[in-house]
Amino acid sequence: MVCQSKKMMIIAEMMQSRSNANILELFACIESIRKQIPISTQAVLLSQNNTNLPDYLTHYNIDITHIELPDHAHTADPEYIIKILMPRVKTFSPDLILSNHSSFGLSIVPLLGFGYGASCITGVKEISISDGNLIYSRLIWNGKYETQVSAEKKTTAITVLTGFFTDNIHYNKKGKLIHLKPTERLEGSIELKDIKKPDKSDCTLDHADVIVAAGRGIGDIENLDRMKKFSKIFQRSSIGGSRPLIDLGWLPYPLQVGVTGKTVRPKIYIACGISGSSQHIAGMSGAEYIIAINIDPQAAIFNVADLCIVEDMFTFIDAVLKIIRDT
Amino acid sequence: MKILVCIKQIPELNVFNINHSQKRLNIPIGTKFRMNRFDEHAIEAAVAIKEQTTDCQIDVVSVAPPSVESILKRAMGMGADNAFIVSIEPETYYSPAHIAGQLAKFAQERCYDLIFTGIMSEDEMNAQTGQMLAAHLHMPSVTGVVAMDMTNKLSIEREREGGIREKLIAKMPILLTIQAGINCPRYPSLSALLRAKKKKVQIIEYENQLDNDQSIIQISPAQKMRKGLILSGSTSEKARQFIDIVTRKGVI
Repeated sequence: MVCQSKKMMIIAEMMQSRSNANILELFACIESIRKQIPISTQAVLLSQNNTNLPDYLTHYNIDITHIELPDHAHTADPEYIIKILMPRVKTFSPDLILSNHSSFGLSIVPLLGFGYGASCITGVKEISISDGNLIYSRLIWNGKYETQVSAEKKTTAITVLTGFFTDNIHYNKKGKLIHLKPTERLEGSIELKDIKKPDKSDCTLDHADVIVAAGRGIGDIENLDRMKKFSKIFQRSSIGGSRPLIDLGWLPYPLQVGVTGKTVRPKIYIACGISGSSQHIAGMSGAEYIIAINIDPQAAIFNVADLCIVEDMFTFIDAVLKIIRDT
Repeated sequence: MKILVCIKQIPELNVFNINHSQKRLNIPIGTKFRMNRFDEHAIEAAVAIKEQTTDCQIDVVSVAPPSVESILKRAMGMGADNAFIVSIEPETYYSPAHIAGQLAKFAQERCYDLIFTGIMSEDEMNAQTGQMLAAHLHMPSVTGVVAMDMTNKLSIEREREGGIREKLIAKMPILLTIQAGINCPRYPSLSALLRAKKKKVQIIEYENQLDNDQSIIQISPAQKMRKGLILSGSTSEKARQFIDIVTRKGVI
């Protein structure tokens, strides 16, 4: 079957003082499609005032429009961003719009999908082709199940899950580059007052060889001491936690692993009573070796684990501590 | 002030049988439902505002089969004033775009100052419905709200990645999608629940032409990303194997 070349449009935000891993993931996603069907790609990259486009981003054979937002504008005002983007979307008329499954992507893509009349599919982890149509896999139920979804509209707008398109691609062929500084003004109803950054001084998790991470399965704050005891049997270890524990205030924020917390790459990651939501997995899937302890044999965390232990976490931890004590 | 909170019910199940022919997870008759966790935070956020202001009305709405009534009554037990069901068929797939369209029909004439939704549902995890509803209503929206203060102006904290938070000042009307961590949802008192039980939940039905922008063509257990070795034996045998493995990795 001969497919016509499909038009892909990347929409992403360049974050100040951060690597552009989010953009490279979208490039990798594009590459996974390019391997299956002929495509042409345009990327619209938004940045705050006075941010240069790093040169390495221009070597992926992708045409880039770099939009430098004026002083008064910011990506926290999705209406403004849509106003800037919509004419460019209309001119390019893409078959597929891709953004990250992130605070930026999720604030923009549903609005763009609605405004442009596109199918809107969020949290995509894989794209395949069937009869010339793109099929999107997405995780549901905290990552326990996945659905294959097809779009009904001519254009589709998707957000791509972090940690699933990680291939390194090397092109060394420059795409076209356009630099724009929009002058559009909008009576914005959302005003950015301040950006609060987390305290950089706490790098406990960055320096740990072993992270023993606790999830909702811990049950009670009293049990945290048992977890700490367990973590102490490893050298250079730290305790960490999934989001629910931090929301409950049981562990301090710098120990949160996941999209909204830290991304960690320890030698060994031991997930105890963690269900394995895609948000958590995005923060720890880069660990060298992953051990999951969970009483639910269907917990999604087992899908990313090298070693699966189906046990009540505390029964198991007590058994381990007993053996260590006795030897 | 009029606040609308949109909520969803979630089946209280951990494991499902997959209905391959209908491309969905089977929910056996008699399954209990609970409120989507993020929506509990959204209701709590609304009730917190009501407690600080005079003349504040909270409506809750769910686009769901009529069986959602008990969840809406719980929301009223938490402090919401009125509850509505926009009725749809059970066991049918509705995409977020369709649900947002139904919600928009409901909200259009009612002139809300604030609309809250949970950041996403725990089952389908789309994180779209709120923003799309805002687009329908030509209302601005902020996603992932983790703090809110209304003493002077509406000031909001929005969560970004890696622990970054944006402090925003916003004008009403506005739609906010609420992230966990903003508050600790209250347990409704027994007396509040009993009072809520007596209240009526209004059922509304719109001409319901299915307008899904996407179709589910297959559903399956999630694929494995790593080939996990599953330990077998008694607990202490597994503990021994575990210790062997981590010892060989040189971390004990």
